[in-house]
Amino acid sequence: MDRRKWMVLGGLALAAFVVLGWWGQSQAASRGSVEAALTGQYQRSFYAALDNIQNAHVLLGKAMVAGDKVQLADLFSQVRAQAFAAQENLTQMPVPATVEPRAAKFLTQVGDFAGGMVRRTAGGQVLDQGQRNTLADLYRQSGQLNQQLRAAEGQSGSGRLYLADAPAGAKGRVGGRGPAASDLSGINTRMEKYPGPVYDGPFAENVVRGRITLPGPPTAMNQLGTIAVNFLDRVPGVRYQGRYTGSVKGDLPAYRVQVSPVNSRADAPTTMDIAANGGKVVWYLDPRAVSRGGWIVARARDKALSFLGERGMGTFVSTFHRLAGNVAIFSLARVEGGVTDYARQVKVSVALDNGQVVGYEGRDYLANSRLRPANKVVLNAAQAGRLVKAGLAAGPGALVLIPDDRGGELYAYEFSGRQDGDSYLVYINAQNGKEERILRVAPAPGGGQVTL
Amino acid sequence: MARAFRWKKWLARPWLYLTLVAGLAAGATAVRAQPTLYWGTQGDWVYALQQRLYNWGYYKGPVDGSFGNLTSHAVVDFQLNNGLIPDGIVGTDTWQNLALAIPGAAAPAAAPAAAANVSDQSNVNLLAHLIGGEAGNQPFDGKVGVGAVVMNRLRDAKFPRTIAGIIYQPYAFESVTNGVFNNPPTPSDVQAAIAALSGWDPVGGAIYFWNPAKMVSPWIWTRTIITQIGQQVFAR
Repeated sequence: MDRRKWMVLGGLALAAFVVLGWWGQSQAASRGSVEAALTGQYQRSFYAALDNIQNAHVLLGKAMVAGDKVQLADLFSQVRAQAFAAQENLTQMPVPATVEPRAAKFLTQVGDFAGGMVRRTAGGQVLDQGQRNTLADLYRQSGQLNQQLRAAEGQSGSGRLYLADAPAGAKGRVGGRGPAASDLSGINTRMEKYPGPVYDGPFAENVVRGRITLPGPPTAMNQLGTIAVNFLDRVPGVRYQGRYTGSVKGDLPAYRVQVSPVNSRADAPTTMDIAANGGKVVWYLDPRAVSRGGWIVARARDKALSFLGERGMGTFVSTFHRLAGNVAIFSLARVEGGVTDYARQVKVSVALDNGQVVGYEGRDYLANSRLRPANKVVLNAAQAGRLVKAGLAAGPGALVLIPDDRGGELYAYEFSGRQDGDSYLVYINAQNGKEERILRVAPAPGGGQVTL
Repeated sequence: MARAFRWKKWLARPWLYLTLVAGLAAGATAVRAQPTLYWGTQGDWVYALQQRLYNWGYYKGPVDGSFGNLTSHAVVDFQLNNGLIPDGIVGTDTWQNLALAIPGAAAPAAAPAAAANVSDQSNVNLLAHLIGGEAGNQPFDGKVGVGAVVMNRLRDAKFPRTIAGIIYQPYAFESVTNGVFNNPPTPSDVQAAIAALSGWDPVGGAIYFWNPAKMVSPWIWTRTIITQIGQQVFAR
């Protein structure tokens, strides 16, 4: 009897063991196939990046020997496409963000520089000596990057660069090490030694937005509460109190203040930053939920304009708006001497339940307050209008100031027009008639417009 | 005996075709002609709008074909009563709710349909999901801060050049890695996403953030901390 009992138990244990083994085997198989698919994706990104970098390197070499402007424009536009594609593929590799930033930055700058050279050569100009030097530098550095990635590929062939292993060492948001990570990290360390290319473009070292110190004396700490309460769009009959909560050591040094009503309840305090110099408000956000509508956009726009006027900020014009639930967000540009300055814009958000201003954003407005136009007004509106594609421009052009790629601003004529039912804004340089920019005006999801 | 109808002769008359072509053209124009109306617009469509709002008790002013304050208020009242966005602008949705939309008008009007496909809706969605995943329980300015980190990365050459590229960069954001990112965002997350897209930056140009109470890589502490909002610190 005992023996039978043991046999049954043993049989059950064996069956359980077989089932468990089968289950484990199927789990391992499915994990293996998922891992193989993922590794395949990552390897594809790596090999695509490898191709893109080699192509960009070869094309930069061709640009160094090309003598024809059309040929140059064509080569640079290919360099731009290859460099940006390489950057995209490289940044989608499963390595911690600490590992490949220098290579990614280098590739962005190659694409950025090439884009500038496309515009220059297509405009009939040749490269000046400085640009030739930059081109030669980029050619040399892209060659070295290509060589280093090829070496990493050699290790991949020998089974060392096993990309799916990288996450195992990379728990958490950043940091960590894996076989692939260590290979690419070596490349990063070597690239750190290269100087950044010198050129004019939005990603160039000399143009990237740095620390801004605003004019004016240091803001007195004991004035913070008063400045905050005075700037806030206060509900009549409610008393407010501002409280300093800390310093913001960002690109525009500021003090953080929280403003709450004293004799009324609020969901959460309004947060506000006041510049450490000059005492101007940088931004504020009132977090209250706006669950109802009621105000129409035109009325809210008037409120946004009067809010700025009452705070002595001068004349503004509303350029665009978009709706976020029951809040209308307006972009308002400063107008001076009849010229709209798009480099000096503020954003004002108005709650559509009672018309209260629940948000203000003036960072760019403050940062660009000392910009001086980089060109002169030579053309008149009619002359500029003749340079807009025939049939597109509707109405006379308006003289405006627009931000340029070098962190400055330019006088331009703005023309609005329609093509196939779509709205566009075209900007013509007021000095040389160059078509500086074309913006497409599209409906914003939820209401209002965005420019693309 | 009645004379047989002479089909062939009748069909051979050129004026018939002219009329048909003109009729079709008019039909086509009618299909295309349903403009978006707002404060300041004028014309027959404003007339039709005012008449309808008057008949339905929303509008008390003169039916004069001129879109002024009274018309605007009436449109907003109508929109509020019908669950539409109360923006005072008569677009496709409002036309349809007024039962004045011409059937099938939206589909054949190729250009406006194309325009509706061009927007930054996908970026709003992606940012709102990220904000929900990374800062769902943080104060509103902390939510905007997470969105601003993505926008600041867009301006930084080290990071991918699109919002999708930044958000899905492997191991860039914990909520994307562990799947919390896929939960539906709240209205406050969406609002914070739009604020960040519109330019609010409560984190002074920060490109990293983390929760100091959680275990993070030691490397992250080499960054310069700019500010703290709620439980998260933001750094460059």
